Amino acid sequence: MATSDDRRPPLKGTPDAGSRESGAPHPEPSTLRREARLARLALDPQREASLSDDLVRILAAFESLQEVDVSNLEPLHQPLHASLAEPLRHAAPTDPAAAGTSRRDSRLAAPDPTSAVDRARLLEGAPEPIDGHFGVPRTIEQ
Amino acid sequence: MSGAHDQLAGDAHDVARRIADGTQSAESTVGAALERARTDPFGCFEALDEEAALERARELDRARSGGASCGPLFGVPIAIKSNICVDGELTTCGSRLLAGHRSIYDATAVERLVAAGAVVVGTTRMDEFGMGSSGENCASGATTNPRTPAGGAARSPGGSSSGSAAAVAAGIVPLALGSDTGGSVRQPAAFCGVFGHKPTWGRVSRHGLVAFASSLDTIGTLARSARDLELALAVMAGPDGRDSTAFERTDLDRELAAPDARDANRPLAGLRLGVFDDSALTDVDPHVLERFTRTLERARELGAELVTVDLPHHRHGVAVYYVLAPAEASSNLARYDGVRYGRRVEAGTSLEDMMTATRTEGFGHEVTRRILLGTHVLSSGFYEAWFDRAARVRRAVADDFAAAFESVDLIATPTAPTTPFTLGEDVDPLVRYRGDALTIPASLAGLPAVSVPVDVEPGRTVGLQLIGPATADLSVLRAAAALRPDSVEATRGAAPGGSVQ
Repeated sequence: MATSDDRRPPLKGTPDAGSRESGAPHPEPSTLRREARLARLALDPQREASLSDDLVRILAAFESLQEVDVSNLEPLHQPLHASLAEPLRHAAPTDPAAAGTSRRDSRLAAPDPTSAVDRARLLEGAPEPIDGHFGVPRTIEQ
Repeated sequence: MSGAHDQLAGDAHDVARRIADGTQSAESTVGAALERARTDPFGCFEALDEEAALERARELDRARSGGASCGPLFGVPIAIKSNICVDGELTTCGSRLLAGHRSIYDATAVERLVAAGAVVVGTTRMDEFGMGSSGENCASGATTNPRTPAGGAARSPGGSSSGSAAAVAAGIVPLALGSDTGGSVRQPAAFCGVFGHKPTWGRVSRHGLVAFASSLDTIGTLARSARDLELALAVMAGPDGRDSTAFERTDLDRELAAPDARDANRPLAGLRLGVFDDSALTDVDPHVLERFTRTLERARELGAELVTVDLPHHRHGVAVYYVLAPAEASSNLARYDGVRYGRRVEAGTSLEDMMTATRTEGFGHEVTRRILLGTHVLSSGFYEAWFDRAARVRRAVADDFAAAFESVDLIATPTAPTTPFTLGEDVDPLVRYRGDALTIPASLAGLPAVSVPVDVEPGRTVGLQLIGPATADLSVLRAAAALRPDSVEATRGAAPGGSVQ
């Protein structure tokens, strides 16, 4: 399925390879083909060309991001307000019996390690359950 | 007016009260909702579970006659977006890939609503995995906006919580759950003429919400009154051992218990309401802007002081979001590989062939586009320029809000820049992405926000968005209640094709 990629005709409507003087590097068709393969998606040439065009246009529209001075900005990867992870200012002393983790004074709950799922029911939703396991096509030669 | 309509009249408060005082039974109420859902011309539902819902309602009736106390949502029929787990129900996320997939447990939010007496009648249609703002990217079909003008072309209900918003607007249920990653509760609320609340990130547990972009995903509520949003929040909020980002609720309980000290005639007295300079709203449709401005005038009459705020990085929100959310999605959606869930497409001889065929055939066009975009911005050579940079600008967006909330209590914007568009329009994806410009920033910063219906006329619906500082969910909801204290009427609507039902 992915093996015919290299024989596909070149894509139209995508810019030339490489970085420009300023701004972000633009993706080449071969880059996108490789990324599609990594994402386990097989695209026919027409769809590949159309999606490639979309990506180039979308990223071009976001070029203004490259103008922002980010030198003094730390990346924000989750927006939980800083105060919520800190101990409560006026919290009552935590019940030692309930304290299980180092987070016991914060406003976050201690994780519950018990499983929410039943194995048999979980496997009912799988495409190919075999003897209590997930079945997949053979990956090792006999 | 049918008996069914009477049973469902008013908001969730009204319905729960009538059941609790014996005016109507839970069974007849749930039966009325199911009857409306069965004959729903708007395509709100992915699946109904009539037997389970009626059995649950009968259980509640028996409990009540046995003297059991009634929870705040006792007997209230609710609908759940099909990316939120309901034990035994179809949880398809609007995707071909998950056709027929049933949950094996309840999401924490669902568990808590049910414990408060609510009865789940079914799961609703949505844009696939939450990716879309029109309701059209749904494998089982598009939902129609119940507030489509009679004789007019069918309007979009918005998305991605399209079915949940439409079911509330159509009066099938008074309350529904949606999910909001970049505006997916607020924008459909605005389009369908109902209220929609996106809580502070961490206020409501995400356990049982199918992940799209985890650092942005929230479970939110759609309702016909602001007080119902408050009730649902009071039921669902709080810590959860199965979502370690869900925080405790002492502040919420304290505020809920405090007597309402506001002047009934001037409930917004003392509120400093932040608004943008006009130049920041140049892309907003004139009708939306007119209704928005008129509502700000109303806020002023109710005692609010309008203060202009500047959020210098707000304009980068769409770009930041459409880098970060696809990146997270490309990782979260890696789990759909034909091994553990849903549908498998057999192809070739290898495991990789099977996975590739399953994903290629299973995902719709928009989801494929976003997985590719997300894979790209995380790739070596592009990561610094896109993903890392977007995460840093996200910090600037959040910092701007924090600075603004030094001088104002809440910020008001239109929820969406346009009124509902016509279904079936072939538009550039960038046009739709830019339609999220006003809802995305609060998502990036994890802030609570609500959409208040300020025009519910078919085809011309408008929502006003209120955004608050982190954890200030109740301030946001109470300001919404001040702006629109009554419930919005459900609509019998116009069927697809335009004839009035």
